[in-house]
Amino acid sequence: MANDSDQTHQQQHDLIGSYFLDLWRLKSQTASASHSKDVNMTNPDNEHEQLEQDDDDDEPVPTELDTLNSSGWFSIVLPDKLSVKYPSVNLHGHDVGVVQANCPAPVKRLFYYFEMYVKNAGAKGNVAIGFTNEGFNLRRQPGKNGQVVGTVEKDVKGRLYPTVAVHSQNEEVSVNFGKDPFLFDIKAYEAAQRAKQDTSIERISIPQTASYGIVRSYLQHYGYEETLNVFDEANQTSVPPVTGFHDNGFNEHAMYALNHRKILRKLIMNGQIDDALRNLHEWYPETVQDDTSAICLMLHCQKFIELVRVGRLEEAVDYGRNQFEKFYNLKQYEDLVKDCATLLAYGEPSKSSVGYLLEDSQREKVADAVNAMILSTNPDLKDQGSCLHSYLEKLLRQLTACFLQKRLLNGNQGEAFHLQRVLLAKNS
Amino acid sequence: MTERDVARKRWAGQQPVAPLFSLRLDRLPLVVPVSLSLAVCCVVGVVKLHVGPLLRRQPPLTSSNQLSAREGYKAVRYAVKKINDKDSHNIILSYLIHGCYKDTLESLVASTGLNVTTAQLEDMEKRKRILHSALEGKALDAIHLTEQMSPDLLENNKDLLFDLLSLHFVELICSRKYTEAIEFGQAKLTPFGKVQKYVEKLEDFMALLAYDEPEKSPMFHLLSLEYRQHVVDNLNRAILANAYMPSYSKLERIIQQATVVRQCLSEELGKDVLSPFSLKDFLKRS
Repeated sequence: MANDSDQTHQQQHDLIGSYFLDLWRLKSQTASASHSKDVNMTNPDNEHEQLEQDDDDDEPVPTELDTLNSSGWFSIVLPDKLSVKYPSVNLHGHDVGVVQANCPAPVKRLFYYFEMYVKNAGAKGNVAIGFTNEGFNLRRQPGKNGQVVGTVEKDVKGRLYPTVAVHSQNEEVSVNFGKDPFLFDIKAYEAAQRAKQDTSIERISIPQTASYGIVRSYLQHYGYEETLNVFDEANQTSVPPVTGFHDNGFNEHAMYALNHRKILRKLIMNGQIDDALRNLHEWYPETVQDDTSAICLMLHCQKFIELVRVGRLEEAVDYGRNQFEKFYNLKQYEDLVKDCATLLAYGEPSKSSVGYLLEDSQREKVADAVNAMILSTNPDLKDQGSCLHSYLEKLLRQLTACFLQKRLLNGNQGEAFHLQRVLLAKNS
Repeated sequence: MTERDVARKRWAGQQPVAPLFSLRLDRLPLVVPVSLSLAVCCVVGVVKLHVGPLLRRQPPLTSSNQLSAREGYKAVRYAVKKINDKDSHNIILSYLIHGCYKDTLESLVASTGLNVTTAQLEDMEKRKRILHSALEGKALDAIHLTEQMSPDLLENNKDLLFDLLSLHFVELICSRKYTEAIEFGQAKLTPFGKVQKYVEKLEDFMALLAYDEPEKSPMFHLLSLEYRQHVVDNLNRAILANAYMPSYSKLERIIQQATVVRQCLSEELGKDVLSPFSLKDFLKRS
């Protein structure tokens, strides 16, 4: 049996390999989900948007007034469930007819809005609007004819119900939860709110070397040797020269095996999997030693995909028969191998639910996986995790995690973090 | 221990908690007399989510809190997974475009199959020439080229125009061409003095003439490379904005956002839980 250090080496390699398999699996799941929704799959941007929307759409929103928990005799909700009127003649201070919406206001968004229309102000005009929880604590934000009059900061945790109340004879109001267009210019309000957020962020100043360092480390990490050289040259002749961080040992290990990694990436992006495998066996045999490892799976599957791509289907079938058998025994790979095999079922595989396999993004995943494996062979390596991501991705993850953590601390209220929104934010 | 673990530990700690908000159940609902007219009376039920002082205290760990905490951590893991290659590519692309790294961009495009149009590359080339002229002290060339590329830009951006003209003025001073400098200053810079906000700047520049060794004057920073870079940055942003392109690269934005949210978080969780965010330290960590 392999000795201890080999085994740990193997386990470490498979941690890296299985990370990329997980990424593949995620892609497979989203691809089939969006394919079944009849979304145009060859438009990757579209698919990404879909993912963004799923989070917030799940939250239920008020649609009508609640007829079950009513204030007894003091209000009558009309059959359309959107209007309320005050029935009796009593004008006692306590005799307020309060009605809530059928569900609390959603919190996973920037703000929530609803409107009330006074059909009949009745004898005294004592209508009210606001938000309440189970008790009857009204918070009111009166407005008038489409303009904001005042707001109240929400300093309460727990779900709040949009609420209206009537109090005197003949009063009648109706609510609008969004079925009809609002009178208040909600879009302008939203834009103003977002602009306020953007301005406060714009004012943060960051050192120039931060962006520069991140870009450079990205190129190093993914093995873009030629691009890195061009970039370095451009910066040497730049005025003023960019200085001040080479000294920090910024990501030194990413220069490791740069040339080999560049070559392998090129081969894989070109579909030359056999050449890639040959090089790996020659230069970094330990990465492909175990033929049932995740990285071998990815490479063999990619070879299969390349054969299908050029229509050499018989060869593909033969190759599949030879190579996939050993993977079929490993449960964790089943679904991915199945996806590959499914390619054979279609006359036009690129239009099927597994069409994503034929895209460049799949080649890129394999290239990234091979890249990470090679980085993991660096004897000076201190942290395995650093093979998986460049600083850019680490920064993005940190940003996402912090943002969501912040929302969590706020009782999980507020918008979901949408990286796209940050990236597409308007700049002044 | 990861930051998450620390935060979680703190949540689970049995710390005495002041009530966040006391429900006044004895209070009668307030009744708002609304205008008696029958016109549409729209009210804004806006619930602004106010984060600040509330979060100085720790919420008690009720069962509903626990559930939402679990949901929350799931959300983090899921959202982090959704960061995909495209985002990284776009961010790098935007950086290179912003900085006019035309050759680098072409090389990257060849290696990755990203999409850049020839029009984009041509625009980058033009912008690069403008910015380099300004950086090398040929501010008049820069102005001329800018006007060629976007005729109204400097007209609508007087501050920038002043700054560019001042660069030429400084160039003349550094080349010891004092007569020319005076002539140029009086012809081009002085007219700005009619507007109050330029007066102080104008005086600073003209005062450089009074010194034998302007680099030893109190206004020496106006001769510096940093000042030139600053003006060129503004010029770059103005040209981009004029072309309806983002005036900040996405990478800058990301770093700014990360800094802000991380600072907020370390304020909320307390400095003993989360150290204040240092970009340099973050990038140094492997």
